[in-house]
Amino acid sequence: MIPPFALARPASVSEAIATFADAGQDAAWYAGGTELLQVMKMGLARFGTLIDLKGLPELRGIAVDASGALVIGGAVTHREIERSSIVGRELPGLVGLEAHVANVRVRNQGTIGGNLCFAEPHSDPATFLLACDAHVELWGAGGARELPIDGFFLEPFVTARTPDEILLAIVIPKAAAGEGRAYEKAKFRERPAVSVAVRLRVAGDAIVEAVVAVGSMTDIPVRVPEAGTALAGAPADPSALGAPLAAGAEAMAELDAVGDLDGSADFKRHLAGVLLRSATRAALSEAIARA
Amino acid sequence: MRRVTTRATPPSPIGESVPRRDGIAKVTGAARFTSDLSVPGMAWAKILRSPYPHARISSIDTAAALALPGVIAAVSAADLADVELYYGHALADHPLIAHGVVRYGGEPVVGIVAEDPATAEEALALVSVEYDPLPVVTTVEAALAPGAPILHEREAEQRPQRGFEEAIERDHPNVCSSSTQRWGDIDAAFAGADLVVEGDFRYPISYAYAMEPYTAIAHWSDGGLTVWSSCQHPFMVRDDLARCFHLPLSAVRVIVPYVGGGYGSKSYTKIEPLTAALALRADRPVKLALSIEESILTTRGDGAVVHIASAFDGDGRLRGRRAEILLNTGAYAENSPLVGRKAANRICGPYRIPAVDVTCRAIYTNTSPASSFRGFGAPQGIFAGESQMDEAAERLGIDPLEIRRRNVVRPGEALWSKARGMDADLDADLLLAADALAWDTPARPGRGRAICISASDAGSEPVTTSLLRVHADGSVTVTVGSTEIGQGSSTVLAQIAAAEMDLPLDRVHLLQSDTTAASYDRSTGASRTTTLVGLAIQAAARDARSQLLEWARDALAGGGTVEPAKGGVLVAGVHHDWGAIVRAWFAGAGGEVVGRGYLRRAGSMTAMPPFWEIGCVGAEVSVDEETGQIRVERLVTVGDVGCAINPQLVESQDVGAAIMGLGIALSEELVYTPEGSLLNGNLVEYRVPRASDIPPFTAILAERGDGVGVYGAKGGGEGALNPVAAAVANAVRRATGIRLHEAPFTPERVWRALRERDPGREGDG
Ligand SMILES: Cc1cc2nc3c(=O)[nH]c(=O)nc-3n(C[C@H](O)[C@H](O)[C@H](O)COP(=O)(O)OP(=O)(O)OC[C@H]3O[C@@H](n4cnc5c(N)ncnc54)[C@H](O)[C@@H]3O)c2cc1C
Repeated sequence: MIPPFALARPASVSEAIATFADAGQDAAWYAGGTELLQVMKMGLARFGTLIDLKGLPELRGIAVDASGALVIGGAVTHREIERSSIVGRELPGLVGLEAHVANVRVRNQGTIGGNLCFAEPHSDPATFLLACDAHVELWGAGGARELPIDGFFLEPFVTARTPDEILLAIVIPKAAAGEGRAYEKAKFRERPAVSVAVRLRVAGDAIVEAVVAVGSMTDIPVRVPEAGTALAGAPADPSALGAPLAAGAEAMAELDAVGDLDGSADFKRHLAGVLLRSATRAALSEAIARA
Repeated sequence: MRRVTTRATPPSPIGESVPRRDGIAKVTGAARFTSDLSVPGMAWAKILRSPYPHARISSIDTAAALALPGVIAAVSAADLADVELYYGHALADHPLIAHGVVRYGGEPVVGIVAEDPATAEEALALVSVEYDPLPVVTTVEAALAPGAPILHEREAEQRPQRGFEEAIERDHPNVCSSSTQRWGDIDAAFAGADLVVEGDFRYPISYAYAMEPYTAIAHWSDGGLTVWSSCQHPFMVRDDLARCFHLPLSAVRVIVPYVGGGYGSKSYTKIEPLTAALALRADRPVKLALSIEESILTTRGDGAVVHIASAFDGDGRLRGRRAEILLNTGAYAENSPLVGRKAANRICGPYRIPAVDVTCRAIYTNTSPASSFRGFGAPQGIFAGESQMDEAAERLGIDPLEIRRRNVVRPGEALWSKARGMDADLDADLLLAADALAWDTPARPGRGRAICISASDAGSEPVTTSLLRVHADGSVTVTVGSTEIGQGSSTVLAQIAAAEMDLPLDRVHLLQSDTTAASYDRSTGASRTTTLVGLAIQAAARDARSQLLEWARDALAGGGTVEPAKGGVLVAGVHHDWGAIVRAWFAGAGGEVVGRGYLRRAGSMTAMPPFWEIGCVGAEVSVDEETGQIRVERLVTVGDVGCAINPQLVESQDVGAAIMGLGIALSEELVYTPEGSLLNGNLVEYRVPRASDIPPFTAILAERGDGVGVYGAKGGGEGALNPVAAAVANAVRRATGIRLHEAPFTPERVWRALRERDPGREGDG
């Protein structure tokens, strides 16, 4: 049962920030509530005031900015992303990802900002956005700032965001020519068991740059630079990737995997290798199509 | 749905898929479940649960909780000296609230009653309880190891409602009960065998998820107790309540409103004694509505460790089977003595075996108490036994279908001495499943198929009654004690009454599950309702009709002749319907006739079990060898139900049971750490199948009129669950060459087995 709380419904971000300041330590941002209310119900957290972000125009909407980057408002739901034609055009991998987050009830209610700020280590978007080099825009009592997503997640359930800051938007750079971005996961129950995201760029007939991220395997989603290095320089030919993929899988096997209900650390390492193969191939075919 | 029928055509509306009577109320939200009800003056309860899986309670302080405005009572065992704390229909070992010791994490320790649920919840945090932790056992192996902590120091009373005749045997303090099944010369059977297969199998602790959590309202008034509860067996609950509160049965009334699913989880007594005790101390009607997470802590299915050996002749005929089953029964007996009894019987399979030596022991551990679960002791052993049938077939070079055909008992043949002869054609069932899987054509590469079969001694005890009242307008009220838990009994039983009285269905109404207003039924379980309650209704209808015939002769024919006719009688060529007879006999506008139907262990119900419930399932699977995920490509069920009173309802039972079996085969397992923490006691982490998990499905109904029930019917609803895990495991074997010994077959378990199959496989590109 959720202990009683006050619900504030500010009309703008600045009003929201003022409300937060008034409520002090006792307030929390409230978006879809799919995590927050659960945590309160379980008695793990108690807040006197919930400040509803869903109505803030600054956090709504999906757009492409002047630089061509994709900008997704912090209070946009999974379902809205899944159905967005803009995202479908700019970052098709994210549409596919969102379509398989949780179940339709959670997708309809839960937001991407809530997902990232809650920082549950089994996050689909967090892993993909890491590989995509995204950054987040925050706005709090001390003003606005931008943080790269790489470094945003500090520990399970802990981010670099301060409690008073609102995640306004997620910004994902436009794909360069010859760039492909793909995400693959193994999922046995609600959340991913392990997932791997790959962003790579081809020039001529070689992969010239690759970034690999893995999620649900270590205590927070991480990039695996050695796996990216293993792929960079490889031929842009899916049938000729055996050795680089094996080296990438080995690099992932070095990570400090954490076993959970979906499987032991060993099994997770194995899955990461499997997913690296499929994600790399998918990224490569997108890259070749964009070259 | 495919129907294969060789029975006689029954009267309308038998065999017709009439819409379920509770359907519209349920889908429109008009149906009122226990949690929708309230009683004037009602207060709300919340339960403080033990954080420790095993501990002595050294002190309980409720003063601060009681001081919170709105709190009415804070109750622990110390406050219930006038109540018999220990209940249990088999072994009275279960205190309605922890009594000095807690034996599983989540056991109720203090109950708070308050004016509203939020206040009750808030008060929980103000109760302070001190515990002295005790050593913990969560597995059967640990519970039987030397020096293991003993869960129950006190010898519990054995109760007559245990469901079997022999006394409960206990050869170790942590053994809750033990059962055996023995016949033939087992040593000779194994000594002379051409092939012996032997192995260990593990079946998970599972949760019989029902959408509605446990809910009860208790109201003391007029020297008696009324309880509304989401329970399957109101009369059994009444017995426990009467005993706990020293009341005659007639002073306890248990009423069951709409129920949101049971699957065994709501059989027998759960939160009713606790709710009644809280109402007694609060001196107010009290509602206790658990969450799903609390329901998971309340009961679950028995996990099992099975050691089994089967001896065969060279031609695949079974010579003998030895098995030792250890059930992980959790902290209290609940219904596990009966589950264990049935597990010992059911592991023998539907086969002719000259010699059998089976022991099943139910073991206490510091986990939530296990009780009934759809399938009831069958799937644990069938997984093991049916895996061995395929293993033997493979080693002897016999087709897995053929080895089963050689061993299944024939119609009329008894599985063990004194048992009812087989009331089903198992060979024909196997062939139906084979046909649906196109058994004769090879499976596509990467796929494997299997067919498994089981027989359960079902029906429980044949003790049930029914009253059928024909009113002055000729319409009928039928009272029965069995519960509509979603299986469709309110529809099927009305169909039977309508057919027996020659009435349109809309002239028949049912009153179910009210221990004062409805009539007695032992239980709603063991797939018994259609068969046993159906027979009681038939008897009541016949009794009503014979009285009506008498009355017609008396009041309409002046003692002369009357001719029975459809829906009434003919007197001198004139038709009089039932209502006319009633009105004439009472010589007024009102009155009614009361037909009585009793079913007991006599006549057609002398041989036990009342009927055999068959499970016959085919599966085709493929396996993603990289992730270890099993994909079920097709599932086939053969529902051998004698006569499908309502075919669509039978089909949903078979599909539902098979999918529930699939859940356990693939994902469902409550995971306990050795220290006794439950890691996934919620529906996000305990993965129940969803609509999107249902594979392509073929449901076949075999109706041969061979059941003991009305129109040749016999029970269904559980059978299709029992062979599913075995069928999936055997199909995986044929697809990949791996043999799975532990359910659920999670991706990691499959992957590990694949790794064992080909060591050094890792690292391919
Ligand atoms: C059953 C279930 C299954 C799930 N499965 C998956 C899955 O498969 N993959 C996956 O990736 N995720 C999964 N999730 C997580 C899901 O994506 C998140 O629950 C959801 O996106 C959270 O968003 P919300 O708007 O509901 O957040 P809320 O619950 O409202 O908030 C969560 C936290 O973030 C803070 N917060 C929210 N928005 C902001 C903001 N804009 N600025 C600052 N702080 C903010 C809140 O204060 C709170 O601390 C699952 C969740 C559930 C319940």
